[in-house]
Amino acid sequence: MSNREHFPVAPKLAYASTGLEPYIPSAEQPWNEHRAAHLLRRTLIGPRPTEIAEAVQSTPEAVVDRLLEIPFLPPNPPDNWVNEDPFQKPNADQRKIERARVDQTRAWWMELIVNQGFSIQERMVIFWHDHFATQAKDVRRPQWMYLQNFLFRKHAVGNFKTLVEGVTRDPAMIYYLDSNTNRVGRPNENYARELMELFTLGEGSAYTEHDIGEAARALTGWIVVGKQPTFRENRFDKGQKTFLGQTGNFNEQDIIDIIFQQEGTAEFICGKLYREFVYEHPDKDVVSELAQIMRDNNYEIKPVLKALFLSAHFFDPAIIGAKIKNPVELVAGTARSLGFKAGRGRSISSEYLVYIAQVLGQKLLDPPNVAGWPGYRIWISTSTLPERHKMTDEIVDAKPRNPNRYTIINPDTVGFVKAFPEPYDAEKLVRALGECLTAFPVDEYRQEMFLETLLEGADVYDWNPDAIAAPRRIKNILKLIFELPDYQLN
Amino acid sequence: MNRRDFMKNATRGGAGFALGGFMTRAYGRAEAVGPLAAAALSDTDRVLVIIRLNGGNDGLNTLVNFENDAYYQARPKIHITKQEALRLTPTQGLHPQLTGFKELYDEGQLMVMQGVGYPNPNRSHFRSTDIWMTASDSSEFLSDGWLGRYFESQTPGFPDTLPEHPLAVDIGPVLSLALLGKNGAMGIALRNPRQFVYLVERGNQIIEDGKIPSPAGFELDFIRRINFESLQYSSQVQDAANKGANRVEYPANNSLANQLSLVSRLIAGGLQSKVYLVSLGGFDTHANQLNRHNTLMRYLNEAVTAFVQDLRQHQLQDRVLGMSISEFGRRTKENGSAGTDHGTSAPMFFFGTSVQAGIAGPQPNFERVDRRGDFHYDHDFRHVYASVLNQWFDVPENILSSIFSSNPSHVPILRPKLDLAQVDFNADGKLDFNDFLEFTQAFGSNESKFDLDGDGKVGFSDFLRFVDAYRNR
Repeated sequence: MSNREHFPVAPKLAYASTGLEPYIPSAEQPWNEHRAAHLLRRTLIGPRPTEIAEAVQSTPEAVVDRLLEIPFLPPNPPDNWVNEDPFQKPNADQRKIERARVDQTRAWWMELIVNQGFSIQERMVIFWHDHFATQAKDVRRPQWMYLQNFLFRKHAVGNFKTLVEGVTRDPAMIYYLDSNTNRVGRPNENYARELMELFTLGEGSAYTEHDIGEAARALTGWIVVGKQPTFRENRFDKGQKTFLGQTGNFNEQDIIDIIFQQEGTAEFICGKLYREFVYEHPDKDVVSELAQIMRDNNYEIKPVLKALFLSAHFFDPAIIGAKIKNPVELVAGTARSLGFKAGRGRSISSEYLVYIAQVLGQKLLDPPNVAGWPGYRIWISTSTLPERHKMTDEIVDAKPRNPNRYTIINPDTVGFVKAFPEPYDAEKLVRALGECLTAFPVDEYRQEMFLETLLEGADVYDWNPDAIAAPRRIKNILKLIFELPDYQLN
Repeated sequence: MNRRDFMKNATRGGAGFALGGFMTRAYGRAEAVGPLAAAALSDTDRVLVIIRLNGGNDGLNTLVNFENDAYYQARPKIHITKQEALRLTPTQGLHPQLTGFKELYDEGQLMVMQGVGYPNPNRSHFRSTDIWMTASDSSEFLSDGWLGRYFESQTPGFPDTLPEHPLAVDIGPVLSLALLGKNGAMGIALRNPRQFVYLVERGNQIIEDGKIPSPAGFELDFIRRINFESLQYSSQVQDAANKGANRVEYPANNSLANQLSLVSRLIAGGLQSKVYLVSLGGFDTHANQLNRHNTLMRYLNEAVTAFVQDLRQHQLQDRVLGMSISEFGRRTKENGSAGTDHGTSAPMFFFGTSVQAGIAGPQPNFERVDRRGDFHYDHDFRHVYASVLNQWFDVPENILSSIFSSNPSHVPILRPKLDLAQVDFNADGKLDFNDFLEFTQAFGSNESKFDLDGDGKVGFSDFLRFVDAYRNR
């Protein structure tokens, strides 16, 4: 079910009244833990208390500039097999190896998400994976899935047009949407349709079935040889095509150029960026302003995100806490914010986190179809919500559901609370914990509930994080916060 | 024992069901035996309500030794005078706020057990609380609780098969360590009684009437709704809370009263949980103790008094045993700020119609103190716990020894079980249906032969005692 069906029209809400004008810290809207944590929660996956504290000491602009930097070096690949060509006609054993390598790629990716530095890259890679959804189940070749992930990493906040060009010539995509069988005289419209409907212009916008057919002809000629996307002249349709009102001997680059001449392309992708970073039901005026910035900057993504993250709209109280966490965000974010490192020989198994995200409905590298995950309220049900709680309990208690397969090392809860400015002051500590881990202000009621949980009836001055009995109580308050409805929102 | 057997056993007096049903049909005395039949036909589970006095309650000013000079010497500023104390015996009395407790005492429904503690006492709130919750030794660190181990011994299939109702309900934000078992939580925490009552009574709208929600409020409301729907046992708890109305007014602005009113509603509404945990905080009276402790004693008294009245209105008083615990008592000598520091052993309260009423254990001995001037203990709290499980829930020795690390000895808390001869009303040497018929004829009278609890009339508690004896025959 798509969100369109979930809410045929946007619900009647008191939406943010602010727009893209810059957010200027003031006495009423100070740059504090609450707002800094909001920015980091929406851009990183599971910010740590130290990162929030550092951000508060800095300025919003400096923090956003740092977030939009992509690490200079790409990560180490999952294994040496990424350099090999995929099996040509795999036998049963080789199929097994392929599946194991795809699993390995999932774990590798999860490891990168949990161990991320101070950059928006990992969130964007997940965003692009969801946007240009490709299923490993169908693609099978682990090398291709790895290359696609590499592509998303490279262009995470680069140029949207360059990324679309890359995706059009991406081996996994060529195979997944049948570009490799799209040849002169026998056109296959699969990629042409999704290129416009899901990747650039959006369904129901100004293109016709005829445009799809013509684009399909222009997109012919591409196959994959080994790991290389390869253009075969003899498979290409050299005839005249008329696409979106223009006529010529178009190839795939011409099609992309024409698509990017359409106003709707920037509108569409900015609408999706809005839904990723602000709220499910977009504010049309803000999206139009973002689209204008994108067109003015030749489809560069960074200026768009920078304007958004520094806007009054982004910090409007109406939208802080309005985003439902997807399973990967929840699972990896919980682990990361508590200081876990994912991977073999580290404090939490990546495979465990991959598995839990799958249980919660998000199997990395295998979205349900080419439209990506429907997301939003679909993530939360009476069966997934208790599973979400079970997962956070397992992480806090270091008791994975299958201890023979997965490792979780007891989290350093005392170290965690000591990363807050005043860990010895119970009242300040619980407030800071709440502000770091949830998007909602710690009101009097939550404060009381948190203190009661941390102190179990003792007085505030008796609190001592170094006491032998402290870790269990810290775990209690963490579990309490993680089970609050608030924690499911960003 | 499987879950079904457990639940059957939990419903004490299988005899009660059949007898009750037969009786009303055979004699048509539904009027006289109405409450009796009603109780027998619904369920006669025994319930334990544990009141946690968090922070360390001052035992010396709760049960006052007003004839002991040593008490007044230790507490020059913060004592209860002989005149103020509510006299129970020629030498001891209750804190002046505990008027309802005094009444319970006079009615034979209160027991004060003195000097409850444990060897090598720890004076840290956190650590000592954990010791009380896990029933561990002072040097032992357990990750499961005494009640958790008890419930595990009764539900071997847990958690693959779950009881229909929660085994225990902790009215608090996080489930108490006492209820943690090796395989998970052996009870539920009503995380937030105020929110819960709000949800039960006013639906689950966080959106204020007439106001258009913000996106954040809109989504939060959605998650809260799903959360409430998915809470384990939420429908059972909600049903019970809806069915069970309070029949007395509980004092306002009293958190313990709030919690106990919910417990009463849940029991009256048919929730079949065996243990409820409630708590009152603030007992860590290091400074200006008199006023603060006075307020706390008032809260305790008002809350428990209303609760007991409510139970009586529902004819539930025989099903409920109340017990108070605190992580420690306070230092015998007051400190320089008109308060008291952390101490060791202290008295516990038990209330209910079947308690062995009175004051148990020796009076505190100011001569027999440790280096810091704190009392030694007379009753190990683990023996007290074991006795409660044994006498109230019929837990046999072999299971008790698996719940508690050492073999616990027993302390009388409930009145001893009746002899067969006492209920063999027709004196034919056996306890059978004819004895029951004799009993029912006398129901509502004051015939002393049938007045098994000696309260002057033949009533429902006598019936329960008879059923008890019948079961054990």
